[in-house]
Amino acid sequence: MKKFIASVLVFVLCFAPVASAAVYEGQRVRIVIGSTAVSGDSYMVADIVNRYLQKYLNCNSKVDPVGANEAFATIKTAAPDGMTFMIFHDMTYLGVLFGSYSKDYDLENMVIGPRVGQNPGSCFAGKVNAPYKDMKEMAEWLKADPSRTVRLSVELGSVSNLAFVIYYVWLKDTYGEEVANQLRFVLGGSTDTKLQQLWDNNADVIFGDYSSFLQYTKEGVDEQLALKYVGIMDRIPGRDDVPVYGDMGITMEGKPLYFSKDFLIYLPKGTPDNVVAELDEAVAKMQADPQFQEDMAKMTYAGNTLQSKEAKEFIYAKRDAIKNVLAEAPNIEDLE
Amino acid sequence: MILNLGLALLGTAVGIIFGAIPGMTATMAVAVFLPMTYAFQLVPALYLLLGLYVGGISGGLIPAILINVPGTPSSVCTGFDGYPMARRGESERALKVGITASFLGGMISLIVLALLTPPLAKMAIKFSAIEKFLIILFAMTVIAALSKGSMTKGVFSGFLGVLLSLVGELSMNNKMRMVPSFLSDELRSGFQLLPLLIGLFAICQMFQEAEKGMQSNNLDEGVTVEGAKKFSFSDFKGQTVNVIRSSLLGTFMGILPGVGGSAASLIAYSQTKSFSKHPELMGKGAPEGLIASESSNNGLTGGALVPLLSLGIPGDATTAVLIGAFLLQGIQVGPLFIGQHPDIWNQILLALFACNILMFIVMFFPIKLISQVVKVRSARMYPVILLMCIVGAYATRSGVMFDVWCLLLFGIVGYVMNKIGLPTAPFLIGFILGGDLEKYFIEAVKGNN
Amino acid sequence: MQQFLKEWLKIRNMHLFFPYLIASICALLFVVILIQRAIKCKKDGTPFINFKNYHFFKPGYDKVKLWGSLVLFILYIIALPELHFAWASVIFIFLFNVLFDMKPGKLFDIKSILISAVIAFVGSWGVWYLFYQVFNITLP
Repeated sequence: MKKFIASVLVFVLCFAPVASAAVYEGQRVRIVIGSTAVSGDSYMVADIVNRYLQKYLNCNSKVDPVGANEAFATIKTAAPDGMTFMIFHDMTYLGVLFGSYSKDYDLENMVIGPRVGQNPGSCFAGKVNAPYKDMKEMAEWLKADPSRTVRLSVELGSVSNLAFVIYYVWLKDTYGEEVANQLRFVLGGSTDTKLQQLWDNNADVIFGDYSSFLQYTKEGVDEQLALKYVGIMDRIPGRDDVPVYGDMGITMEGKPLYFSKDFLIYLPKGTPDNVVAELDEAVAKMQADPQFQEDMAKMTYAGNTLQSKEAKEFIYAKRDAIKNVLAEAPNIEDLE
Repeated sequence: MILNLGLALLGTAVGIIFGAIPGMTATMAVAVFLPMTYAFQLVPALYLLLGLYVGGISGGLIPAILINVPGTPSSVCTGFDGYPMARRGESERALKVGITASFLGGMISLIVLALLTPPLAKMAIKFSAIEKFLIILFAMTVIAALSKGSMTKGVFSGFLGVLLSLVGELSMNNKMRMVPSFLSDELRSGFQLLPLLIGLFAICQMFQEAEKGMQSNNLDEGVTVEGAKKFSFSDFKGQTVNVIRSSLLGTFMGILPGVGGSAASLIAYSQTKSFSKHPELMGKGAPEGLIASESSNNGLTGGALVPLLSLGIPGDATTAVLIGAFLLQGIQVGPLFIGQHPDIWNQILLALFACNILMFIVMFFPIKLISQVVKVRSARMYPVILLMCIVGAYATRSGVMFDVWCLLLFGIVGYVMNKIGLPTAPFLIGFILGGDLEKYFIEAVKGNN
Repeated sequence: MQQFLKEWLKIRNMHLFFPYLIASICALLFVVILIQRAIKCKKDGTPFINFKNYHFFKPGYDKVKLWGSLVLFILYIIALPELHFAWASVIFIFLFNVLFDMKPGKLFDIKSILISAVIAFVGSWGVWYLFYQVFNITLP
């Protein structure tokens, strides 16, 4: 019976006239994000997007920084009416791929909405006086003397873990396993923890966000504190002077690697199509808004959106490619 | 300027409300207002947010003194002496002592911030995990200072608190421990501090009062507010050293990134007890304990801004939220901040100065009214406290129902602990410090290559 | 020692070290507490286990209020996500007020019940308005 009613409902909703489709008009909307920090890219992107969604959906939405666990749990249990959704980056599927989260949280158990933006600035940074200027040189430097090691501070099961693995696999394929095994894995934490590790000389290279390291790479910073970028995972518009993974020749599955964090809207399973369609429409308007593009660019993010259909194909393909790389990767715990 | 001061006043007043409501904190207040600051320039936004910060830290003393429920984790020690004073009818005196101590703590830390920021920040990053581990361990010694009856029971209770804080996932290796599989979603990030704190104090007290039949109010029998000792600034006579020591300890804890505000007041409290001429009076309503706790937690405010503004590293949870305000305006805080933005830096000092004065004014003068809360009958007061606690618990992680269940759970735990003679304050302190103790222990061992 | 710790703190099982350590300390302290009690009992000549004179609840405690508050609390939490925050609160804060202000022999004190209703209504909607509307905090 329930199923019958549900299918009737879906039927009615699908064929309901588009004019009456304003589900969001005047509603209170809760946007959960997978981070508790309000200074990270997850919050910043969600905050910008939230302002434009309010404008184009005409709703009263609010960003709740509940953290990854709570955000996933919310999407699992929330009513599929579109009034609660998540904006989060690649951690959504990485958590499952790395085994930190159960299959209950698989992409297949969510409805994938439009992509709302990208952050190209995931990067590794090292001490300013490190003997290599980027991660390509780092490979040569390692190869030159097998007794050398580089300690990279990353977090398990995150984008940084992926960045480490991609580099490791590329090193292994290009320079051989011995060189790759000269990489050492250091358990990181928040950006502050990692900076402290670097300053305490407990790590040589740390992972973080381009913008959060920017101040330390500027001229005039105390040498003890100063950093330099050694590998950014994607091109940042207007910054041609920094080493980018793909440009240095780092590849994944044979192709130069350019990896941006993709921020998508994720909705609870069973969310009706007209809700997603309304989000798509609002995101399309947002994409066309020059002010939105400017706001994103100011934070070194990119306002490249995708409609939900393409976003779904895109993120599934991205996940499958990464799954293959992870299959090749060693157990990171052995490189400690 | 008028607008800025108006915002600072608004911030301070709202901050005090957040601080005073059990389960709501300065961090929450700043986070709630953060998205609204987008509409302002950075400087007015900072006046508002710093007001919330100072107000939120200070407001915690009100419920700690009046109903023995610390409004924020950093005012845990305030109730140790503040509440016995209130029971003697001296609620107004206790509140005024607390507010004055807060003000002095805030001002001393402001002086430190203004004069010593760059050198102190350089010193702060020299502290490695080993030193931080030792500091946390040192803060735990306050348990000994608190265990009046049986030292063993107090220490046992403290370690139980540490054990409980380990429940859930260790964020370093994403592995769970001590979590039954049917609660793996709920307990993944462990028990939350705020529901535990207010459950252990407020809800537990509600059950205790219910057991006694909700007969009276919180005053000791035969005591009247009118007949009690009044506040005068001479309460601070002989406390100069205490004020300065506690404020500086608070400031120092603020400067150290990753050592939270609760550790500050714990260390200040136990230091004051060990230097006190009458240590036996502490915990029974001695103003010096109150002064230590409040001057140190407000001392934190200026201290926590030191590493934020000179390194880009927040000194505590609230300043971590403040970074968001800078980023929303497209300004990076880091080692070059003060040099590149001397105008903003000066405004921050000015704002902090204004907020401390406003906090003092906003709290000191209506205190007569607020202090009357002790006269309210328990039967009428506890339902309202409960309502606030529910809001606070639910808001801890922006809307998780499990946290409200924890509120009830720890109300029962506190009630049972009292019945079997296990002190709850050491349990709470163990829980507050447990996570950091583990983190710095592991980092110290692993990092020391 | 260093080596021992390093082995224990390998990433694979680092999450277990502290729980084991702290649990052992707790167990140790528990034994100490028992021994202390045994010594004290021997000195005072009281039996080690003394259930007869032990009362978990105060003699003559207010059963209705204690158990009533527990039951109401549980029902309140269950009701919160089902009803609107403010309505659930109006109902339960009212009931709590009535329960706590109940006096034996005078169950229906109209004045007291009216006051309860006013507190419940004003308190709940006031809190809801302030936090939900003004501060935009998520409530059940």
